[in-house]
Order: sequence, then structure tokens, then C-alpha cells
Amino acid sequence: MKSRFVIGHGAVLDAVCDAWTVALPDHPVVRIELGQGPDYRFDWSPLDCVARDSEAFMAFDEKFGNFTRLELFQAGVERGYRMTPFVSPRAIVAPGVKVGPNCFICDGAIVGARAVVEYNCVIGAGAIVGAGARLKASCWLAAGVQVGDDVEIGAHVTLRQGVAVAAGVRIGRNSELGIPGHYRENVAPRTVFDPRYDAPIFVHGS
Amino acid sequence: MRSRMPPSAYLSPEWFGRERDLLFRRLWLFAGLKTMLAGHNAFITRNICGIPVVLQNFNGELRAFENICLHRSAQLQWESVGRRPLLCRYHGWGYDANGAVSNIPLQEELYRFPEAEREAMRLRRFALRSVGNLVFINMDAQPLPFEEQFRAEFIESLESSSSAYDGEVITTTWKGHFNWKLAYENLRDANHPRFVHPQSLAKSVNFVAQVDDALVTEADIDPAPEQARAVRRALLQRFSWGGPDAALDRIIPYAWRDNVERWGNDDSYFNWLVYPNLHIASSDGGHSFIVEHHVPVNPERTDLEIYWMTATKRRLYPYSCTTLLSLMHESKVVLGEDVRIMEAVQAGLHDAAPRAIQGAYEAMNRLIERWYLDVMEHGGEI
Repeated sequence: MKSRFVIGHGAVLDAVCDAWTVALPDHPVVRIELGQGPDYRFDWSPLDCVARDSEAFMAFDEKFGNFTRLELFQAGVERGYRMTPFVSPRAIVAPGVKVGPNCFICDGAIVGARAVVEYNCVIGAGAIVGAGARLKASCWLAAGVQVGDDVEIGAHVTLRQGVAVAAGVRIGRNSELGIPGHYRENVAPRTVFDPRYDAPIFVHGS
Repeated sequence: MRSRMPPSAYLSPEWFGRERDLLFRRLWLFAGLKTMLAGHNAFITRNICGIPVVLQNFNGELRAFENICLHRSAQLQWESVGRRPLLCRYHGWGYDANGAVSNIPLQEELYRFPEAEREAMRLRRFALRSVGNLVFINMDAQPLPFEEQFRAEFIESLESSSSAYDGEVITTTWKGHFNWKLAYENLRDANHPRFVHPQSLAKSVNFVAQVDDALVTEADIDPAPEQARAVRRALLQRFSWGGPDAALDRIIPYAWRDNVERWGNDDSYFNWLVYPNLHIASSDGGHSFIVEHHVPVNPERTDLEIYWMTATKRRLYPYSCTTLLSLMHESKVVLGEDVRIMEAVQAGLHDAAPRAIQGAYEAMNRLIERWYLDVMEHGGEI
């Protein structure tokens, strides 16, 4: 059986390797750690041994607004890897839910009917994604996050532990909801709620 | 040498009120960024010296008005940043670029203002001056000339550097529990980074405190009881300065830096101190800029309104807003260390607290204190 290459860095890389190994014990996993320089640029040379059409999964945490994970994903696309999503056998995903490449749906997560999970998203352990909800690309939902029915989550959004988003709410792209609580109103794109700060962080202009 | 500043200058609500009247309402104050006012009807709202202010773009002309409708005193613009006509949400009164009432719905049916009375209605307007991308206002009915508050070469430096600001800006507000003056005493103290920031700022930048003997002598002379206005203004000009402050050993070539047009090519840490309450810095030799506006809220509270932007983009790149967030988080560490120290100083103050003992390197702080007390205690006109 062909190997699956799990490529990335840090604790997430270990967790993803373990998840694939446990879920598909007969399918060998090859762990590839990528290093970053002080300028955060990757050393891609460890990928020289990974052939096109290989099964691969790119594993990195949510730092830098999920753009580092996206950079890895794009590198995989450019190299012609097949990046099958991982859906834990202990997650409950309604039939017909669309899950994009390189998504990672953890143990105990629940994804409701008609939901769409675009590429490169992570849905943490026990997180709930309501029926008809849409997660755009490269989102990160921490363990236990609750997303109501028909919620729309923009690309590169991070929802941290203790966050619940009420049904029908829209969370704009590049936002980060880091303060635990129930978000009942739409959040403008590029808005950050970070508990280390006294007030929200906004980005204006372009 | 003991500081001239009494503890009440940092504690007393009465002192704080006089400070607003005698200092802040007479000086040119930072009000916002021009890049956040791009396009007709773009506006920003601020509370400056306790007065709600709206800065609004009227077909390219920036104007500053008191943000209060003349009819029932509702605020005209509600959001901190936005784009809509200057129109009251309460009864629909509209205003033009001169602050005149341009429209009163149902005027003839319900209000019946005589034409002369209606034409005389004007929002309170404040003088406004743009320098590059920095917008200043002055709340005095007869504002002192901008060039008398700031020297020509300083204005030129602000104009050049701020013109390099990119239009994408990240903002937030930190609530500091200290008097605003402590921030500027701290910013003028180049001896503190090695002690307050040993694991952050001081690891990468070596700020060197210096002693200017002539300044020491000048600052120690007791002021004349009644300085002439011209002398007072000449001193005031010296309290704002800017430029390269320390050499940078290395500027890390982060990928985002390839996407911006660097301001200049000097590998230095730049600081601009704009008296009374604005600090601008570029910690990476002109690749990015932080604007810190220290807004006095009460004697023991100061809001730090923070704006971060890179230099102008050469090209759009998808992670630009995340780059700004990273810059914000980095500065949170350093500024957080400053805030902790200033809050510790503030917490130790009381009416009978001993006055600070200042060394020779703190002569500029002493000179500013002398000028400041002249304005405050003797009601000196600026």
C-alpha cells in the first residue's frame, strides 16, 4: 500500500500523524517535518522525495491567520499531491456534506446536513457545525466551538475555544473570535476579538 | 534635581480640567489618518478633549466639526469609521461642507425657521491641517499658526514619512490606568529600555541616553514669571522632534517586506514625538509605522489609540491584514511593558508623594515641565 505523507510542523503535525495512523492502521504514514527560518520562510527540500500524485496531508496550526497552513496547502497543490480530507470515524458528518481537500474533522465533531466545508479547514474535537452552515477556505474551529445553522464563516477565520455563533450570523473573512462567548451579530471582515486587548481590533482600507 | 511637577498634576480632576482648557484646546492635536478618510463622505469620529468631533470628506475637502446636530443634540455620525453624508438620524437634518444646514425635512410644515435664522445655523467648525497622511485639528477659535507649534524641518519629516503610509490600517484602543504625561516622560527617557524591555525591545535596539550640558543648564534656570508669548512658542517648537533614533543591526527579510515600498533606506529605528500626545515610530527602517495617540480620559486614565500600517504596497498580497495583526501583537509586548511601568508609577502617586528626582539626561523633560507649568500655573497663553 502506498504511503501517506503528513507534512508540516509542530504539535499539529504529531496529532495529524496519530489521527491518520489510528484511523487507517494499514496505511503507512510518513511524517515530514518542515523547518522555517527566522524570516518564517520554509525549507522545502524535504519534499524532494515526495512524488507527484502522492497522498499527502498538510498539517500546521492556525498561526498567522491560517495563511501558513494555506502556504503549505498551495505547495501541495503545486506539487500535484492528492490531499484527501481527514474525517475522524468518531465524528458525525451528515450525508451529503461537502468537505474540501486537506480538511481535518476531529473526533466527536458534528457537521449538520447541507453544510459546506471548503478546503483546508480544521474542525476541532467536539465542535458543532449547524445545518446549512458554510465554512469558507482555511478556517480553524477550535475544540468545542459551536456554529449555528446557516452561519457563514469567511475564509481564514479562527474561532477559539468557548465561542458560539448564533444561527444565521455571518463572520467576515480574516476575523478571529478569541473571546469566549455567544456571538449573536454579524462580524465585519478583519475584526479580531482577542482577550489580551481591551477593545476589538479592526482593519480599515486596503 | 527635584521635578517641578506636583503630584496633583497627575491626580487632580481640577488640574485635568484646566489642562484641557489651557493646553489641549489651544494646541494642534492629532485627529486621524487621511488614508481612513479617502473618498466623498468618508468620515471618522473622535472624542477630543471631551468634545465629540467628526472629520468628514466633502468631495476631497476634509473638514472637522463638532459631531452634534444643532436641533436635538444627537451625534451626527455614530460609527468610529464609515462613509455616509453628514445627516442626523434623529430628524434628518443634513449639513454641507461649511457646516451649514443644507436640508431640514418638513421645514415649512413643522419648523418654520425664518430664512435668516436658518442660514445662520452652523455646526461648530475646527481648524484642520493635513501633513502627509496625518490630520491635525485645533479647537481654539483663534488657533495658533501650525508652523509656530512645529518647526519646518519637523513638519517636512512628518510629511515625508507619513506620505509613505499604506491605506490598509489596523487599529485598536488600549486602556491605560495612568496620566497621559507619564507616557511622554517615558518616551523621552532613553535610559529605560534596558531595564523595562530587556527581553524585547532592548534585545534588538540599543537606545543611548545622552546628556546635553547646555540643555541641563537651560532647564535648571527658573522661569521668568511672565514669559513672552514668542518665547513660549519658540520653546514649544523644540518639544516635537523626530528621525533616526538608533541603528538596527539587522532587518529580517520577512516575505511581506518584498510587497511594500520602503520609506528611505536607512536601517534605523525611527521615532517622532509630536507634542503633546502623539508618538510615531518605525521600528524596521521605514517598512512599517505605528502611530500611538495617547488620549487623556481623566487624570488617571489614558486611552492608547493605536494605528499600524506598512509602507505603501507595491502590490496587493492576500495576507496583508494578518501582517498588520502580527505587528500589532509584537508591539503589544513592548507597549505592555511600558504600560505596566507607568501604571506602577501612577499607583504610587498620592497628594503628598515626593517629587521625582531627575538626572542630567532628563533635561528635556525638565524643560518641558518648566514650560508646561508656566502655561498651567500662570495661565500663560501659548
